[in-house]
Amino acid sequence: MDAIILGTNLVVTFSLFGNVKLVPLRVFESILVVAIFFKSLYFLRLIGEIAPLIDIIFTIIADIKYFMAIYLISQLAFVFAFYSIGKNQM
Amino acid sequence: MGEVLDRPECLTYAVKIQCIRVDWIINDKEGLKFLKELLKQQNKDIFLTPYILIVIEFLYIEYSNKIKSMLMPPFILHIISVILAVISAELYRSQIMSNNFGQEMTMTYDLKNLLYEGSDDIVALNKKLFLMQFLARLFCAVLNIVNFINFVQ
Repeated sequence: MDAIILGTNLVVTFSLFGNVKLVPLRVFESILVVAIFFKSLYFLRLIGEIAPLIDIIFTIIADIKYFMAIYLISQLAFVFAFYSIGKNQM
Repeated sequence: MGEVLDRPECLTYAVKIQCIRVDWIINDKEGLKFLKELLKQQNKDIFLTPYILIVIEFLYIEYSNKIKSMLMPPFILHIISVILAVISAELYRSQIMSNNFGQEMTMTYDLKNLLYEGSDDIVALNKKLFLMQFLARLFCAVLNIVNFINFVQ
């Protein structure tokens, strides 16, 4: 996480002194914002009332990984099926 | 003992005092190895032993205060600077783009080239926004490096 923040922040800063494409620059900016807000969870874990909530969320995410795999497979099945049917209407 | 029976703050209670030697955890290399091994343990029962409980409580109190006082303030400033940098950069871009509608602007130099296009008021506003986003990004870069060094240490 630190490496992502350091890297994206350096890209965003050095874009001031170089000629950079705006589209990838905005992508880097968005990654930086997401990464830095997620890093704030590290500090929030020091607050007694918030720490269990963060732990619970990450434990749930770890526990549902197999459920998510099955869910994604079924989603993909319907995505491709409806994509194929949808082409009939064009 | 100076106990006063009808005042709760002047009552004495029995306490259990436990002392353990933990200097080796902080001073020796083996201490760091021990903590790393502890982190890898799958068996959570080990954390319920009195020795480990005391060590964890001691380290938590000591280091959480240090993190709150030394790492947290620059990190909060960093978050604020990132938000300022992103918002000011977008304001600057949309200002240049709205005043030069139809021009191709895909690179950062395209924006810089159009900085002095338009009336005096527009140029003054362009310059102000450019300076604002420049300072916000520099501030952001300085805090980024400070935070990284803080974390590595």
